[in-house]
Amino acid sequence: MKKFDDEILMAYVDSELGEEKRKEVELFLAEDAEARETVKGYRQTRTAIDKFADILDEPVPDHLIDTIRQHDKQSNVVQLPERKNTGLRWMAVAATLVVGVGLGAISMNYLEVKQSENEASITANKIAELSKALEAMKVDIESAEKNTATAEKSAAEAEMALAIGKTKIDNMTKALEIAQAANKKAQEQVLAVIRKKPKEALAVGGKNIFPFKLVAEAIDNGSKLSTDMQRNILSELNTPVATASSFSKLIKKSREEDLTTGASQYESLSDLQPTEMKGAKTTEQIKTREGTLYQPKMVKSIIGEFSFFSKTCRLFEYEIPHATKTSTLLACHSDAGLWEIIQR
Amino acid sequence: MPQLRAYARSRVPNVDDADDLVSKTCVRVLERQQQYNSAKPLVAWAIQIMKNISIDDYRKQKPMTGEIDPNLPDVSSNPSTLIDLSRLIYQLPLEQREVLVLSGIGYRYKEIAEKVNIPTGTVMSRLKRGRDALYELMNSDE
Repeated sequence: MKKFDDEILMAYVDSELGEEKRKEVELFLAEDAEARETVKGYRQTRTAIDKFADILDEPVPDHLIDTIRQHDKQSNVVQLPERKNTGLRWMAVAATLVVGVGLGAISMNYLEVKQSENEASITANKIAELSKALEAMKVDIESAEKNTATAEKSAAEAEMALAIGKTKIDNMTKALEIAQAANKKAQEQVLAVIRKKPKEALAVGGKNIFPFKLVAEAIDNGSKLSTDMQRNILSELNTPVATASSFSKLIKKSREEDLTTGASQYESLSDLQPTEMKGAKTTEQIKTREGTLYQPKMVKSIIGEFSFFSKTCRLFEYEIPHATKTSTLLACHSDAGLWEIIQR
Repeated sequence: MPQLRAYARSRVPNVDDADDLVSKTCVRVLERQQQYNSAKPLVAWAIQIMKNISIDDYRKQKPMTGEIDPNLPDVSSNPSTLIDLSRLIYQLPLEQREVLVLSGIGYRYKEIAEKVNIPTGTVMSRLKRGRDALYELMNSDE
């Protein structure tokens, strides 16, 4: 068993040993009666010297406090310390000296200095915080101002674009209204003419060079033009009709009169034949998708020809076998395509 | 200040003399506060100042280590009061008294070494001798 000297045993009593050393000493004490006696003696002296702690609880005599106060007044220690941390250290010195006495034992001058330092420190901290907050607010305000300026610019641009858009819309609306009105008026006029004065249709239609006159004359000559065909023609008139190049010669003769007065100058069907059509065989076949619809002998004549949406259209007069009257037929074809019967 | 008053009791037997020593020490501390190194315990610095004052007084032939208060009862066995204890320890050398007092008011060995400015081992050896002597004094009449 390891032996321990008296200093270690004293340290054991004074709780100065570490945990491991303490256990070793306890094991040693369990085996060594002499060591136990030594420890007993140190416990006794420990109890004795612990009485010195009573001094800490004694009130500090007034004369001692007065001595310090008197020194304080004489030394005029309110002068600010020269060294940066002297004030705090000074307060620490004074405060430590009067522990157990109360703050009354310490110089009020020191306290005032300390308080001033604390207040100054707190104020400085607050000023720093406020300055920081102010700087942050300034940044926010600048950012907000920039955003506002950008937003205002965007709003102005948007407003301008809106105004432009509105103007465009207004203009388009007006143009549409004008176009619709004009179209409607033209339709009404055409309808009125078709129904009441078919011969004036061309003049009323103006630039729409559709052979209303031919149709009308065909009707006058006994051919029939169904109401459905009339409706189709009128429907097509809603869209500007391409110029009928092959029909130009036909209308050349009376263009001025037709376009200005609307009066018809054509006297007979023969006058209406297109130049290139004159002398054409009247036995031309009309081939459709269903095959040869009409035998040559059935086509009596070609009343007229015109272009319509890149198609060539012809108005045929034909005879229906075993029928006593002739009928008209409108058929169109594009390039080399087959004839398509538009209306009988 | 309570710690200083306790330490002063280890240097002078009379309570009033001890408080006078404390008073001088406090004034000296306040006068020389700019010399204080805040990295070290203030009490240790004050104790050092108190020791210097005691030495100066001794050199000036004005030792403050006067007679023990004559009004105190004479005790020679186990001290039941602080006064009893003070009478006993003043039969011990100063170097033992100071470590006994500082240990008695609760300082650890290391803290005592710091305040008295001696190695911890020296504190233990002085404390051991003081405790042994005190034990002998306490039990001498039994």
